[in-house]
Amino acid sequence: MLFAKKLIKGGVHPNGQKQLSSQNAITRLPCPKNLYLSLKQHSGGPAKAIVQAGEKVIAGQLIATGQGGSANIHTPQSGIVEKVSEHNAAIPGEDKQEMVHLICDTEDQNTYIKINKTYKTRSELIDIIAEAGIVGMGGAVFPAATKLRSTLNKNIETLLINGCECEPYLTCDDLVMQEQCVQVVGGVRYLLEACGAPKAIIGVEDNKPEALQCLISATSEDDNIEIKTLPTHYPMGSAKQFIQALCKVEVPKGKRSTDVGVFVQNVATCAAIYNALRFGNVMTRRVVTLSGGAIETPMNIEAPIGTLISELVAACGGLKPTIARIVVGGPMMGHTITNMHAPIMKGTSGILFLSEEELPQKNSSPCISCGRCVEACPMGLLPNAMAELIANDDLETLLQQGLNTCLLCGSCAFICPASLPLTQYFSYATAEINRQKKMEYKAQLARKLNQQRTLRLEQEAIKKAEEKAAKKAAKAKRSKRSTKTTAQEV
Amino acid sequence: MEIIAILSIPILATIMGFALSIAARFFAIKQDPLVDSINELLPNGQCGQCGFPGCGQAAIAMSEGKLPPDCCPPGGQALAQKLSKLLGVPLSNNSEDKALPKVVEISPELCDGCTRCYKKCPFDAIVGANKQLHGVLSDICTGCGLCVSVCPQDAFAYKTDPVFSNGWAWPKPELN
Repeated sequence: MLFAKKLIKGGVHPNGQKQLSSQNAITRLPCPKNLYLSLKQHSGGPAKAIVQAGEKVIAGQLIATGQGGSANIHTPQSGIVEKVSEHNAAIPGEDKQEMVHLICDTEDQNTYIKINKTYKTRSELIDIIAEAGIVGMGGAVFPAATKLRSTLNKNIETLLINGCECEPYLTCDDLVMQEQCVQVVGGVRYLLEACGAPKAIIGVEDNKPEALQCLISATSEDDNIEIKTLPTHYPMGSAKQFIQALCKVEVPKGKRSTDVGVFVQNVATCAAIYNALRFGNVMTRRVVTLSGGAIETPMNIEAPIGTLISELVAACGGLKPTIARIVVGGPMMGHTITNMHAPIMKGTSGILFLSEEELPQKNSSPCISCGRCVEACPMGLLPNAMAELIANDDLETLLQQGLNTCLLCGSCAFICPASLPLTQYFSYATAEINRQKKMEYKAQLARKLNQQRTLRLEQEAIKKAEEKAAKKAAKAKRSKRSTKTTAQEV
Repeated sequence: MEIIAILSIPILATIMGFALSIAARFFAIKQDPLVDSINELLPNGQCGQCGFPGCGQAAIAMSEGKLPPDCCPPGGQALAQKLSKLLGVPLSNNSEDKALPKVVEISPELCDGCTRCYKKCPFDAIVGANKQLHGVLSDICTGCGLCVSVCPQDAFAYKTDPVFSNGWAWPKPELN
């Protein structure tokens, strides 16, 4: 083991803390009275709401259509739409988002809509996945159908199923693999068909032996599905690292995994795909990890999407007085929120309630140039040098240093002995560069439009002058003729 | 011999002086080339928000150092940074510079379709017709405000540019 070659570059070994929530089975939360369904639960633009306030809806009904790269949104429960308006969202910065507020009829369990699940071709199969509003549940929240459509004209050699769950604390994928391994494996079989790959590999980190056992027994008859054990190593679950560990290929900068003949999907997404294609169920529920040192009973809850975080906390028996910070997502890549009156979304994998001793050291000291961040960076970047550039607003050099390959995985900030907010620097710089690009585009557009307008006005002026001249000439001609006739009359 | 040594320099200087004066006349540049390069960057909306009647005058003032590089609201931060690099003038670092860009919107209750605003818009960002409700194309509008000044109904209001509407962004970390 000492001389074993590392499967991925860099990385760190944070304390797993998985035992907190992995001991209890998934609890199914009954539908709460109020649901808030955000119109922007996925990467890409927001979906378009097709319901209005006061409208009665049935469980599984389509309430917002995805347009151009976004995903459909359905109701988890029958009820009445209270209003479509802005509500607190559990997103970085805690801005408000446009949401459909649904007052549920919690008694009604029998009326629901299912989607048509018959298909003949690959493209029809993908259409069902699009119809069901399935998005990647691992973190990027990319609509699954959009990703699958990009494989139609590409040759996919391997389907990789990501069951790493390398973030500490989170155990929702672990428990999904244990309890719903039939759905997961069923989903993998559908995905093999959808992306046209001859074989699939499910990669699971070795800190989940029960999940591995379940998957191995569930795939005993599948000769094209392989289960591979990976060492526990953060960020093994990041798509690029995962591909590198299993296929020994590196995704080039600026390319997607499908460009190297690999299609990656998360285990929970596989279960959702199975439920859609086998039973016609749309994506309205997900498993969320509630964990951390400051929650009464850490556990995994299967809740309707749109359930308020405060209701999930109540189901876990409430918070402890030691609560210091609430984090949405994992502790490495998640973000802090302060308001629990926000709903969970399709991509919410976990909510952590951390006590003071679980938080990183707050006060940062100057960089001592120890280079540990360079060793830890899985993308081979120089975090210390890049942070220096950002501090001095030199964003151009920063791009040359490869900022856009940064995963924002947090390994550098985790390992930094000076507690420098390295990842925050990169988040800031990424957003700032995007903002500047948008502004530049708009400035160029304004210039172009102004040039066109000036040209148009000039042409109009010339045309007007010509018309005027023509009119004048015609008038002169007419008056000449009339004088002629009068002369004749005389 | 000494005379040659003494005279060679003045003679050379005279010849070169003549050559230079001729060159100055024939190869003269009428305008500072810097003005042209500034003008190429400016949006040319002639909105007058910088305090000068048009972009041309503003470019001249900038080349003379009378206007700061961040004087152009339609150009925004991106333009300010380009100009500051071109002129070698540092940007003042106050928070207003980083304020989100604004666009205008027309209140449908107030607009009476007088067409004054869309005739004025330098970027064709307003659409409408006589006695019809006008609208602003917010992805083109630069928030220059020329329309606001001509509207007899006072129907215009500023709002944050929807392109940047996911308003919150990660702040730059400050070290303690």
